[in-house]
Amino acid sequence: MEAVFNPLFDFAVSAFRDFAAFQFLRNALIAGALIGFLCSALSVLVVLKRMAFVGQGISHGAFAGVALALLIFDPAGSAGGMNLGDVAGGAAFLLVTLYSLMLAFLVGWAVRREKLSGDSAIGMFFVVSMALGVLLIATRRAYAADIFGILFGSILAVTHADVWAALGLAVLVALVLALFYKEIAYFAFDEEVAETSGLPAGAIHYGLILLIALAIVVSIRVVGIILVNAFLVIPGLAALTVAKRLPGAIGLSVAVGVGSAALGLALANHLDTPAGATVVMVLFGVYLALSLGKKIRLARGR
Amino acid sequence: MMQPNESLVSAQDVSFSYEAGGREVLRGVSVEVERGVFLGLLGPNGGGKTTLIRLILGQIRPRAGRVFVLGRPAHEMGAARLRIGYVPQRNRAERAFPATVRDVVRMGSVPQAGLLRPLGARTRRRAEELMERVGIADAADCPISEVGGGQAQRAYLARALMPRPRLLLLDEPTSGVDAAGKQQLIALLSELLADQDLTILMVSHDVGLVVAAADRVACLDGELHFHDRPEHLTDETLRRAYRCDLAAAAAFGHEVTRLAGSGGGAGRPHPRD
Repeated sequence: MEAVFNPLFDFAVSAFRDFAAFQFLRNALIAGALIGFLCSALSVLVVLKRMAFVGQGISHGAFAGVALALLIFDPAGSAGGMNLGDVAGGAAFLLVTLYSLMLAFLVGWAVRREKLSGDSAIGMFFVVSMALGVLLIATRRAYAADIFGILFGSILAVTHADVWAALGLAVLVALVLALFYKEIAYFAFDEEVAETSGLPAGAIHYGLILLIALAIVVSIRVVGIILVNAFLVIPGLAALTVAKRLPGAIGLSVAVGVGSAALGLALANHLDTPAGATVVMVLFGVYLALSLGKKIRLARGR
Repeated sequence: MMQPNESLVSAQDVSFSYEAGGREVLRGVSVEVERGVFLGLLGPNGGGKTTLIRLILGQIRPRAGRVFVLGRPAHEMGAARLRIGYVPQRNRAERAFPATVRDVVRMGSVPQAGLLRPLGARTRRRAEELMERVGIADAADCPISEVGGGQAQRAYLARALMPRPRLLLLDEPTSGVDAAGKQQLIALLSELLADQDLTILMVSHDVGLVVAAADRVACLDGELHFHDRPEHLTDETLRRAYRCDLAAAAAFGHEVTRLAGSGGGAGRPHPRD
């Protein structure tokens, strides 16, 4: 028994100790938890409305946007990949935001008008944006580091601005979901009938895309593209395997997201593994556990 | 204020094709649905029934002609949308969704309730009443993904009735429903027509159902072949509308020969009588 529990106790104790001792770890935890909250809250809707392509398209599109910003504001490569804020401040962030929003609405419009299916959108925007981004960055000195940074973020170098932006958006998302819950629920369940009955389905569709796009832009500097997409999809999938009603699903999704962020960070610190990738594995682990738990319950008969 | 015999739905010489220059799904179709009438719309697949519904809902616009609903152009309904109840063909909605039957029925009041206002006690009571009325009160707490197709359909009907619509559009409400279920639906629709200011347009393949339930029947196959009381519906018209012979038509599960001049009609007094 000791063989199993002692390592766990050691892990918990050293996690507390490290987080207590190091500000950068606490900041990373706060940022990670906020971003986990923000993206997980939207995750259930992303999964139900099959909008994962939006996340993929925008985040990979943002890659090109970031590359563009780097090229414009820091062509010599003096700032490390994602620390654009230090060099060019708000201007760079604004450029990336505008680029990503433009792309988001383009993709959202194309899918709503059924000009493009979700899969095609991912295929096209993913590949083309990544390639464009790589081409743009290729001239910089810190080429590989830039790419790694954009893909995986730099959660351990998170700034106060990042945290404030994430907090602000988290509050906005929570407010929107609370205030417009019944409209969003009807839209998510049966968009066609909701619209013919008088609901402004177009506004809700684009509103959701806007929130997702903002969440991506705010999160991408901190956790990178891979983790943003993981947070936009996995917590929702996990919650939907067990939740019977929508509010519970959203709540569970947030719990999974925030919990995985915290546990993943602690594990990464303890095992000295890359933080972002570790968090993704924890998210997946939680999903597997919930799925397996459900299968076992069903097999036994409740 | 609408007059008793004013048309709730008015399609005027409507033509439509899904692709410019492609096959015309509807050719010069004109049909009026008067207030208080129950119109059954029959026709073969591809005959334009669902297209007509979509035009009435304002989801698409005609290539020629005009469609008016409740006195307004169908694509410019605005707040009048609240007065239309729509029950689509089954399996359209995302059934694998975390919601109970009760949650789904209550959704019907959402457009009416207004933004930032929660659904009140009156709405909740009405939902319970409607669930009772359509016969799914027992399943109120069941996840919508776990109830049978017929029950889900009834939930969607209750949902459509929540805002007290003036016009109810039903698209194949009895596909996959057994004979008893169909009887229940006919009885329910008759009750609703008697109770409230309701006008119904029902699209169906089920000739027997339409003849038994509706005041008026229309046969649509690109063009309107018939629009009159069900007892005037002849085998000839049915044959033309379905482009099939009597033997095949009998496969619909009723006696086609019975239609000409003998029963039919729901037996309710019509506003014009």
